[in-house]
Amino acid sequence: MSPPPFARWISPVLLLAAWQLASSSGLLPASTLGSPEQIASTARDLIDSGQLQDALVVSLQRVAIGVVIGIALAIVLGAIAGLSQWGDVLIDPPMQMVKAIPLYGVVPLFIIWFGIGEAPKVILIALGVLVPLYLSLSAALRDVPQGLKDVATTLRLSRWERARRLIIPAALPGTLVGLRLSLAVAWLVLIVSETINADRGIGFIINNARNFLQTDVVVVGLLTYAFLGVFTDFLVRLLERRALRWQGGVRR
Amino acid sequence: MTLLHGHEQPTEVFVTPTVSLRHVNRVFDGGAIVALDDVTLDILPGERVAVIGRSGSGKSTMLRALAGLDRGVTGEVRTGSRPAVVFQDAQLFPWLSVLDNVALGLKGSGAKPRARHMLSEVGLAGREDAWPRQLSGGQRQRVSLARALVREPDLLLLDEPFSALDALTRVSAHALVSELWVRYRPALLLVTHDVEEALLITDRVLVIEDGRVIEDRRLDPNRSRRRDDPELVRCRTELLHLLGV
Repeated sequence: MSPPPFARWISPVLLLAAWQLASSSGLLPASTLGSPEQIASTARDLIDSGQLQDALVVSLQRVAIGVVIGIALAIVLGAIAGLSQWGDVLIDPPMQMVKAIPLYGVVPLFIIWFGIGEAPKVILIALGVLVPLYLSLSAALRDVPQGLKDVATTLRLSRWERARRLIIPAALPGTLVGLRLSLAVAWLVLIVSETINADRGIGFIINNARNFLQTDVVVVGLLTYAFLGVFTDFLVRLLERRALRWQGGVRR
Repeated sequence: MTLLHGHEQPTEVFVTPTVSLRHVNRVFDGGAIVALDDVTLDILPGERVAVIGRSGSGKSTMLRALAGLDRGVTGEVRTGSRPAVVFQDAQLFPWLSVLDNVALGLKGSGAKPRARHMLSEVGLAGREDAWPRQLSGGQRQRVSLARALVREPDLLLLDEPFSALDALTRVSAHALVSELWVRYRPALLLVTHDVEEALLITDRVLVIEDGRVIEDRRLDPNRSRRRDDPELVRCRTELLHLLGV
């Protein structure tokens, strides 16, 4: 017998029930981990007071600015490296070096350089986005099939038509994979940078709660991060499905 | 060749060749490989020429030079003013519909209707909105042919366009190319390693070996094109012999 569709929910629900049971029986003290019930009510409180929304806006803003800068840089550098041999020779080696440096390892340096305000967080996010997106974009551009480039030449496509009809659609699948990775990294970097120092945002809520052993608040913060990560991944998947229709089956 | 003196008028009207190669050379790897070796050749408007030769003989290099895809050739290359190419693999853009593939790069409001018409000419009316991956190999190659012909080329370059097709599809593709040539009359250059195909479709066969044209054989355009025609069989045997088979 193959399992019915809802079967995937059985174990998560059982785990949740076990957790709730452990908390209510006193086996799992609230100072270690709050019960699911408690976490739900804390989440409601944080939303009702507007604290969670305010923190969300602040954190989203940080990510948005960092992501936009990172994407813009990745597109410029990736396009130059992917489209010209000299660009590749000049840009790729330093980018490979940046890739080799552990991102979180530069945090102390960034704090020295940029202080503890918004700048180091945004720059760290931008850097986190830049590297995977640059790598996938430049590789995708290099891999545009030579046969199709020959076709574009014999059809005498203009520079603009060539970009719009050949280069961009050919490089899109690989680039979107990189974009998904980039956004996942962006959230991780946000969490790390907010953990180190923040006076506002979701990281601030979590750090503050830690000082008062409010494990339920910490969990609400974690769930918010998780939700944001899943949500952005969903958005990119949506974009992928729209842009890569031709790879699927039937048109429209 | 007739020499003209003073104000003497030519008595014969000379047709400007569509393709004119004079002492064309192409080397790769700094001269280690000679792909074209002093090739001189004219192709007249509407002429159908086949280029046969073993792999690496230089036949594809010649086609790429005529398609304007090779900037490394030396010598005098004059090619069609509107060359169009059908490649071995149809080389359609997979993210464009069949219709958009054919209309690609065409200017003006008439582009789509012309592309639509040409698709019906190759027997693909009704498949305009399909993605290339939804078509069979033979259908994709027909789209590729439509994409070439919709540009009204004065030179149609075919780079082993039938080699990836199964035997039956190939026969109907041969017929389609012959039929469309009658209608549009471009000069046609077919690169192939199939001698019989060359004899069925074209009226002039060039044999290339080590980058040199070692045979330039003109055939009677009104000859029989039956596969078992004794003249065709004899010619095929001779050409195969030249190829060292």
